[in-house]
This record gives sequence, structure tokens and C-alpha cells, in this order.
Amino acid sequence: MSRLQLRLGLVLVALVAVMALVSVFWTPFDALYNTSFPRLRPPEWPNVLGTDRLGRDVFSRLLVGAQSCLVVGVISVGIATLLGVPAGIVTAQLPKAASEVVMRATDVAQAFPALLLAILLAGVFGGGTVTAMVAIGLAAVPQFIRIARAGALSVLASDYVLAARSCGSSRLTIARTHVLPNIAPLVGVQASVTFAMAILAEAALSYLGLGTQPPTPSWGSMLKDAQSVWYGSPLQAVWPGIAIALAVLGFNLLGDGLRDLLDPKLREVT
Amino acid sequence: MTADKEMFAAVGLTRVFGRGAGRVLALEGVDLTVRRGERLGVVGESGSGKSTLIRLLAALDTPTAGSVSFEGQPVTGRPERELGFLRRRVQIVFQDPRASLDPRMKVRRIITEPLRSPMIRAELGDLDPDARVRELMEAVGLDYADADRYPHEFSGGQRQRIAIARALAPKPHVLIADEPVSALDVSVRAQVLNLLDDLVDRFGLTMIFVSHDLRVVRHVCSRAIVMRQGRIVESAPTASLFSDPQTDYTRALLAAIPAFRGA
Repeated sequence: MSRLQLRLGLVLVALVAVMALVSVFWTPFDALYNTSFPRLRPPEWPNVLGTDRLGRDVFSRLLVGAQSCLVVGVISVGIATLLGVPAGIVTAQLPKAASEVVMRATDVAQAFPALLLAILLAGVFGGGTVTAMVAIGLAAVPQFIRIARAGALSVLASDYVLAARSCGSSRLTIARTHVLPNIAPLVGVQASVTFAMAILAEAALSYLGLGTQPPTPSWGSMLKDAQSVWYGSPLQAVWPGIAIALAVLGFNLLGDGLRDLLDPKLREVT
Repeated sequence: MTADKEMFAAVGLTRVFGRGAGRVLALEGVDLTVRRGERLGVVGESGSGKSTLIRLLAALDTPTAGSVSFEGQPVTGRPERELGFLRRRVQIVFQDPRASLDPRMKVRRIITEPLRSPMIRAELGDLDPDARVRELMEAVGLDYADADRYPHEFSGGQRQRIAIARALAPKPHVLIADEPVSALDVSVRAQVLNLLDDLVDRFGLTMIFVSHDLRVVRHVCSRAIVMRQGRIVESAPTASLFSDPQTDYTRALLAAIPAFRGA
């Protein structure tokens, strides 16, 4: 079961990656400014998925949209990992009282919704892809702190860390050579799940007009554009909707599959 | 240095964990000297303070009261960066090699870990790590061709050999073995014990050997201390400990050794 999940997840994620990569070099038509086709055309050659309300090729825009989806995912997960993992490892080494204070602070931060943070940041710095990425990344930091701290605590209690200490290895060396490699799988699973969350959040922000700005296509903003023509051309909303759903599903399956694969208890059973 | 020189001297060693109702007195006023070249057995049931004692000796924990000195130099109260002399000369073999070897490190990196420590390099200078790995793996009876494998690819006995090789890497003076065979299959215990025996002879090491198994201590050690509830209740050469135990507790421990009928 978990192998199947993992494979399906990998296939979907690879699909998004291929779409993004191909669109960097080639799209059937210009996705931003080519308005030469009839507007709101239903799917027919050469517009395999039809055209939008400005007469742009939907398939081309869907391909380019995969780029912003991946960029936002990678950057925001990157922000969350780079801030959360070191903070989590450091927290694990703090005295108990200080560690508790940090954890309660992350509880508070975690209770703050990502979307609300993004709207707040957009209000201060203006909406846009960068604001969206930073907001989504920051909102995910507490989860990474929790995961990294929990993993680091169990590694730091192990005999091999005691052996390293008995050789006089510094805390930094131990964190780098023992803690990081051993919590990497945990972090990987969390990154995969957060990636799915980031795609969804970016789509929601773009839908609200706070994410990717026109004319650059993103799946969220395509959904927003489709809203005004919903009754006449429902397919306009279907394509980006399917794309978002499949991408989110892909990263979630990947995360779950990885988790099952890495859980030794489950592995022994199968 | 004379042959009788003290390696470790512990005075009034006390360690208290927790406070209030959960307060545990793990070690209470322990005085101990370990002489150069000695093979000291530390015996006692679980919770008797054996592990706390060796952690304090190895400066992996700080005593609540009392002090430790090593080769005449004070250890207690000194900051970590001044403990290089101890870190290189005192090495530990832990009970369970499944827990004491990092599962994500190759054997080569595990064995050379002490050699990468700046503190030990300052003491020892730079050694050719590959040559050292070969030397050590051969000394503990492993095949150098396996140096780039991971610990889980080895059997329990072989893993303990890896842990022993790591402990020997910085050319220590003292080897602390914390129940080194009790996590191993009975069939390989004797092999690992004999290996330790040989290595201690070959490198002229002082050994502190912690065990709850008196038979093993008799086999390996020249002197033994018996611990109970954080105190040393008896200290004697192993032979006389067996022939003429002085306390009821030691007699009880001896009586608890399972014996084959007629043996």
C-alpha cells in the first residue's frame, strides 16, 4: 500500500515538475500576451484546453502556472526548513525551562493561520509572489521546530552521541554529523506535506489577489479569472482546479509514502 | 611514571538526580582509586550506581559533590575545552552496539570519529585515518574490506568489535567497558571478552569493566568493587572476593550465580 502511495505521489510530483520545466523553454503559445485567439473558446485544436476570457491559450497558462506553484513551494519550504530545523536542534539542547518557553511560543505561532499572516504581510508590503512565499514559509516554521526538536531529543539521548561526547566532539559537530543525518527523514516527510500546504495556500492567496500578480499565470489566479465566466464556460475553472488537486494530492501521497517507508515498525510488518 | 601510579582518583563522589519527591541519590560518597594497568571490575545490580560512576569518571556528567582526578590532574570543575587529556586517554565501550553506533554512518567514519575531534587531534597530532582504520579493524578481527559498510550490515558481535575499534582509535590509556557483552548473543560473548582481554594486554591498557555478571568479572578482572545503592560495599582482589566474601551482599550475589549441578 505504502509503495503504491509513494509511486503515485512521485508520478504526480514529477508531472508538475515536468510541466514547469517544459514551460521554461517551450509552451504551445505565449501564455501572457498572445490574445489572438477567440475568447473563451472550448477545447479544440490548436487550443487543446481552450482559451481564457482574454483569448490566451489555457494549456500554455497551465504549464507556466506549474512554475509559480513549484517556486512558491520550494522557497517557502526552504524558508521553513532553514529557519525551523536549526532552531529545533538548538531548542533541543537548551535547559528544560528555556526549551519549554520556546515550545509554548511555537504553540502560539502555530495557532496563527498562514493565510491571515499572508494577508497581514500583503497589507504591509503589498501583495505578490514574494510576500506570499515569505508568509507561507514563516507560517510553517513552528511545525519544523517541533519536528526537528523531537527528533533531535531522541538522537541526543542516544549512546552514539555519548560516545561522540566522550571524544570531545563539540555540540556543533554532533549536531552536524549525528543529529542532522538522523532527523533528515523526518524533516523530508514534513517538507513534503508542507509543500502540499504551500501549493494550496499560494492558490488561495492568488485567488484572493494577494499572490501571483497578473499577467503571470498561477493556478489560483486562473481559478479567480474563471469565476466571472463560471456559467458560460465552467471548464475554465475545471483545469486549474484539477491541476491544484493533483499537485496537492501528489505531495501528500509522497509525504505519507515516505513516512510509511521510514517507519521501521510498519516496515517490519510488510 | 611508576607502575603503581594512580590513573583515576575519586574522592567523596556523590551524584543526586532530580529534587523534591523525585530525588534520587545515585551515588553517595564514593572513594575510589584505579591504578595503572589494573583491571577493575565494577559489580552491582541495576540501579546500584555503576553507570553513574563511570559517567562521572569519564567526565560525561558532573558530580553533585566530590571530585575526580585523572593521572594526577583534576577533572571536576574544569571546562570542557581543558579536558583534552582525558578525552583522548579515556575511551568507553558501551553496552549495546546497536545504540552506540550511528546507524547513518559508515564504519570507516565511526572508527575515525575520535580522530576528527579537534581536542584529540591537539593531543595526538594528525594520523593517517585510512591506515588507522585498517590497523584497528585488523586488531579487532574485522575485515578492512568492510570499512565502507553501515553498522546494520554486521552481526551484534561484529558491531561490538566496531565499537571497540573506535574506542582504541585515539590510543587511550584507559578503556571503560560498560557491560560490553550483556547485549550480545551468549554464543559470541566469550569471543568478545577474549578480544578485550587480548587488546588490554597488547596495548597495556587500564580497564574498568562494569558488569552485573560476577563470572565475567572473575574471568577478566584482577580486582573488583561491589556496589549497592550508590555505595561501594566491598573492594577486593577478584580471587579473594570469590573465596572469602566479606559482606552479606557479596555473598548473596555469589549465591545468585546459576551453577550447573555437579559443576
